[in-house]
Formats: sequence, C-alpha cells, structure tokens
Amino acid sequence: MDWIQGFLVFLSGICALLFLFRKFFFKSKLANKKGCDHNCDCH
Amino acid sequence: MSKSLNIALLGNPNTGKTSLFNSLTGLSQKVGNYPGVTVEKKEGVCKLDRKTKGYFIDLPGTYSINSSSIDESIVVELLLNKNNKEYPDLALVIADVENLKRNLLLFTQVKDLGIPTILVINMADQMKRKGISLDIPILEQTLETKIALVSTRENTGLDELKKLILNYRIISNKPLVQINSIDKKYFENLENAFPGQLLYKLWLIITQDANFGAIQRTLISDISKFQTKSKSEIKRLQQKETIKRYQFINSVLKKGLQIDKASATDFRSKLDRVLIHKFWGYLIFFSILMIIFQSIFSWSEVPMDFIDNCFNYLSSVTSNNLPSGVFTDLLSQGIIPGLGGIVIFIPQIAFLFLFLSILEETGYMSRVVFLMDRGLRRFGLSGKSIIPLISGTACAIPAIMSTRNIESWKERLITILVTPFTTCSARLPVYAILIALVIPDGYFLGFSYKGLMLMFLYLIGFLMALGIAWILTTTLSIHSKSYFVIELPNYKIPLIKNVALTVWEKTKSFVEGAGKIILAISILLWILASYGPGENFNQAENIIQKKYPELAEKEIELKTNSFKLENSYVGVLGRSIEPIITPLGYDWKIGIAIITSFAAREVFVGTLATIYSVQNDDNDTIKNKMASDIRKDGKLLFNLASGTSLMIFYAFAMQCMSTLAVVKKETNSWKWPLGQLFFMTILAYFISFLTYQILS
Amino acid sequence: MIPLSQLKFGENACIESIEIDKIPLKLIEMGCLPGNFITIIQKAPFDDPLYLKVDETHLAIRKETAKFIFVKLIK
Repeated sequence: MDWIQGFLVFLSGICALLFLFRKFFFKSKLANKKGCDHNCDCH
Repeated sequence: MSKSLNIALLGNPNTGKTSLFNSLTGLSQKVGNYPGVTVEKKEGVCKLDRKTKGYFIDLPGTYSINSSSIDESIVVELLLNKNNKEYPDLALVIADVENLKRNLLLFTQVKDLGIPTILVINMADQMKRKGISLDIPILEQTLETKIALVSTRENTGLDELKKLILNYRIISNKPLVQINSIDKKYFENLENAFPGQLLYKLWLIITQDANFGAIQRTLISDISKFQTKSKSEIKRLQQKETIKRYQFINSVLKKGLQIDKASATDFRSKLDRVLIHKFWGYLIFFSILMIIFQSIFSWSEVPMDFIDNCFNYLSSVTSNNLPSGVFTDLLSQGIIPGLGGIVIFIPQIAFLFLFLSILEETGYMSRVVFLMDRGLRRFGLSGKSIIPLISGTACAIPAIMSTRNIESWKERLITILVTPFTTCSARLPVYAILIALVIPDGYFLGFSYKGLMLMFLYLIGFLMALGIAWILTTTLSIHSKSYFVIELPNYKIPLIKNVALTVWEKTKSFVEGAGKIILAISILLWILASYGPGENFNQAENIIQKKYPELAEKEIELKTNSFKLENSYVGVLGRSIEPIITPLGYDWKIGIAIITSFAAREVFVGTLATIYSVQNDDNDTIKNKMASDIRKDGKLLFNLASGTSLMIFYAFAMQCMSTLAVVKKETNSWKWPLGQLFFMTILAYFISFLTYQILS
Repeated sequence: MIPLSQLKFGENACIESIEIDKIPLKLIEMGCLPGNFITIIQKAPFDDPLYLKVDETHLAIRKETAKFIFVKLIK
C-alpha cells in the first residue's frame, strides 16, 4: 500500500510543478509574442 | 440538418445591449479574450428555431464605428474582416428609445458596411410613460431595415426578434448615406484606385487606427500610400460625414418619431439635483462606500465560519476513513486546507461584486466620475480613474483594463500605475485572518475595531494611490492631449438577472483562476514541508527526546513536529530568508507565505494553512492554530505589532504576477511593471519596518 | 456669441460653431454640432466639469474643452 501512496504523491507533485511552470513561464512568453505588433500607436 | 448564424450585437453604452445578450443566451455565455489584447470577449448561443442556432457575440459598447480606444477598435476590426470566421452574417444594433437619434448614428454606419442590420429598439415599455410614439412601418421603410421592439426589463419582443433574425436575408444591404458626397473628388480617386470595393469600407481603413494587419494586407498597404490628406483634413471630413448622417437621421425621425414633451417625467433631474449636489453628492458617495465596506465584513462572517468548519470536518473525515499513508496526508493536510483557504473568501468576493455591479447598473457610477473629476485631476488622474480605483477593490486586473476609456495617455498611465494600491479582494483573505488574530474586540462609536481596521486599510491604500499619482504627475514628462467626455445615462433600477450573472461569472473566474494555482502550490508546499534533508529532519524524534526527556508524550510529539517542519526543505528555505524579514516582526513561516503569495496574494492564507496543518494535525481551525503559535522570543507570533506590520506590507507590496502581466500588456513595455514591482516592494518594506518598530 | 464655458446654469443656448481641431470626434458624434440646442444642467465645484444636455444627450465635459464650443444665447 505504501508505495502506491508514495507514487501518488510523487505524481501530484510533478503535475503541480508542470502546471505552475506552464502557467508562469510558457504562457507569458506566448502572450508576449502576440502582444505588440499592433496598437503601439494607439496612445 | 442544423444551420448556424453568426450574429454581432452592437450598440451605444447604456442601451441594455448586455441585458439583451443575457436574455438571449443566459448561462450559455462564455467570457474570453480577443487574441493578443485583453479586451473581454463575450459569446453565447441561442436556439432560434428547431434547426437554427444563433452564435451571438456581444461587442464592446461604442457610440460610433470610429474607434477611440482599443475596446472600440475591436468592433471595426471584426466588421471589416470578411475572412474572420466570426464575421457576422447579420448585425443587431440596439438602441434606447429615448436616445434614438444618437443611437441611429451607429446604425447607419454599420448598415453602410453592407452587413444586413436589424434595428432593435429597447425599453419599449417606457414609450408610453415618456410620451414617445414611433411609426414603425415608416421607420422600417426609410431605414431600409426591420425593426424589433423589445423590453429587456419585461422580457418582451424576443420571439419577434428571433423571427426577424431568421429572415435576415430580406434586409437590403445598400448603404443609407452616400459617403462620396462629402468630398466628390477625393472619393472618385479612391474608387478608381480600388474598383469594386465598398467606398465606406475604404474610408474606414484610411481613417481608423485599428489593427487590420492580418485582414487584407495588400489592400491596406496600397491604401496607406493613398493617404494624401492631413490629419486635420481627415477630421474635417469626418465631421462632415457625421453632419451628413445626422441630417439623414433627422429627416427619418421627422416622419417616424413623435415626442409629447408634456408627459415626460422629471425623475432624473430631481435625483441628479441631490446625487451630484456640490455638498450632498460627496456626502452620499462616501456614505455609500462606508456602508459597502462595513457590510462586506459583517455579512460574510457567518458563511465564512461555516465554510471554515466544513473544511476542517472534511479534513478529519479524509484522514480517518482513507487508508493511512503519505497520499492521505497530502489530501488532508495539504490539498483540503489549501483549497479551504480560497473557498472561504467566496462570500466576501461575491458581496463586493454585487455592490459594484449595482453601482454600475443604476447609472450612479458615471455621476461619481463627474463628481470626482476636478479633485482627481489635481493628482494627475481623470474623473474616470475613479472607476478603476473603485473596481480595483475587486481586482486590479479588470480595473487596469477599465482605464481604456481614459482619453489622455498620461492620466491613463498614472491610473494604471497606482491602481494596484487599492485594496483588491485578494488582500481581503489576508486582512481578514490577520484582523481576526490581532485586532481586539470592542466598539468605537458603534463600529467594531475590526471593521474600522479594515476600513483604515482600504483608506491608506487609496491615499497612497493618490500620493503616488501626485508624485508621478509632477515628475513624469509626458505630453498628451487631454480631454474628457462622459455620458450621464438615465437612472435605472438594476436588473436582478444582470447583477446575478455578473456576480456568478466573476466569482467563478476568481475561484477557477486562483483555485488551480493554490491547489498546485499547496501540493508542492506540503511535499517540501513533509520531507527534509539531513540528520535534523530524519532523526527529529530522537533529538527532541534527548533534549526534553522530562516531557509527556503529547508534548514531545508537538515539539517533534515543529522541529521537523523547521528542518524540512521549506523550513530551510524559509530560515535562509529570515534575516531579511525579522526586522518586520515575521518568522520564516510568514516569509514562505510571502514568497508563495507572489503568485496571488490570497495564497498567503492557503500556505499558512498547509504549513500549520503539517505541524499540528489536530482538528482545530487554522485560525486557532495560528493564534497559539509562539515565536522564539516567547511572544505570540501574531501580535498587534507583527500583524499590523504584515497588513501594511500587503497593503503596499506589488504581490501579484497577473497584475504585472496586464500592466505589461496595457503599457506595451516592461519598464512600467518592473518599476512598479521594485518601487512598491521597497515602499512596503520600509513602511512595515517603521510600523513594527513603532508598535513593538 | 460666447464660449460655452461662460454659459450660466440654466440658460438655453444654440451651438454656433466649434473649433474642430480642439474638439474630439467623439463629442461631435454625441451631438455637439452647430445648430443643436445646449443647456447646462449642473456645474461641479469650481465650475468644472460641466454637466450638459446637448440635443437629447446628457454628458459631462471639462471647462477647457468647453472653451472651444461657441454658443448663442436663446431668450
């Protein structure tokens, strides 16, 4: 039983890491690419 | 076989466009973003008949197709791009029966783009009371369209509207106003250069500052070569065009509209006389704010306690009934308390959005803009900055987006930079738990100390925003044309449906957005707090037993747990930053919470909840666990001095990644968000330091 | 003919001319056009901004903009 529980903890840890990584690094880069090819002169 | 139609909803602000959208699509609507810009995009589906589905898109409210902000340029971008898969099969222009003339300006512009356009006249139930009578057949004939009379308030006319939508093909798509009549020669040249193109469309591409980039590149680049007129000449032509359109509209309304002025009531001016009075207006405004903040705090106390208890119960059920092991511990000590830390604030956030949407719906918010313009201008802001400053109490992200209707770039930039100082709802969880821990019970003039403290925190946030705005306006050298135009709409009783939808949608997105992050962070945190490097962590029991041989078993267990936590990965990390935060009165646990809460402020509570659950898995509430934690020097960890210093830190620090991302997007540079981050953190540290040193 | 900024509370007037380069297009589209009727409904403290009724539209503008709209009093 113990190893199943340990494995589940390991799995959720990896998922959490991946999620945060994607949220704060990957996504913001994507957004930047689109960010500024227009509307630069709207101010 | 089922068909689908793309239908665009357009209209002036305050015409009930969103109400109509809500009536048609209800809970099927989705709120997203337009690619690349942070303009809110609302879409929804409505079944028009057994075979046909209507895909409605609620475009930003605008007075004209000529855009003066990013939001408005979305409209012209969609309507000019036939290759867009969302290009509408037909458009609905929603008009308020009382402002028909002005509303028809947009209608003629949309119709001239060759899109089949139905005119929807809203608030038809008010016609009799206002003495307005319309000759629909004449209007339909002169405007070459179909007209639907609806009332979103009484939900009438929707079935007729659906029928008109299904028969949209019978509507002519000929232009109403001949654009070439404003400058024959210029348009003749244009027509020769681009044969076969709609003249009004060409004219819009020339005059608008919007993003047509991906639409028809060749056509656009050819046209920009053609732009021989100066800006001032173009504006003169636009004025001429507007006059031309109004002449046409006047001739239409002369035949089709009659107003009996005698039966018009004077409710509006009576209310205005009080609500924007030079003295009473301000008094009423500040009283309303006081009542809102007081009630957010007191009304949500009962549901919050209830939720807190529920999550404790859930934790204990999980740990008692699942097979024991590390994953069960992760669930009961990491995930459930972490999620509880966010769910508990749903009541407060829902109340806040409830009040804000009522202020908006009644039309009172624009009166506040009028009242505050002169005062705020002194600090380099615009009257319109009051909307971001107030809605910043919900969340800085939509608040920063709502700065778009501020016309002057300098005023807008300063508003963006100072909005994060207003107390957003993510700070509420932090304040709520700290106030409950360190502020004593008691009353002053009928207000509880706790409520007053909360009000004080809102106030210093607001005052700091003003102070920094004043410094920025005297130091930044940006020259921008400044003007200020705002419509003061008629007062309305808010529609329950609209308010409920707003509250539901905003609360949902708060829980979804923050919930996922908090879930992930609490998992990682629990793992880091439950494992540790070296002897101290693995031999914790033996070390403690040797150190305190005289203690009872229960005491030993408690001491072991906190010793273990101190030597876990998170403890080692926390203690390494402890020297920086000790002068502010915090220990390493608070330090960790400050770091994790950089993802979102409310993570602070979830983090402490997880850390304290690992340390002590009694079925006690988090609050009680925090209240009994004792610092190395023997004092309570959360005392008046350290608690207040922590609240001050959260009041001024820029603790939110998402806000930084939005500021970057809205200002198109990293300079402003990074400056904001650096400056606000230093300010927060310095003032918290002073607070702690004075109070302790 | 006087600038709108000098119009007093409650007086009725008619727009004579506007200085097009100083006035935003939005204001023109909301009905600030020569020939339309205009009244001042309320002034904020220090007479700024002004709460106007132009044609059918109720709107507020700042005094600095009102200087560029010229009106004729109607008795």
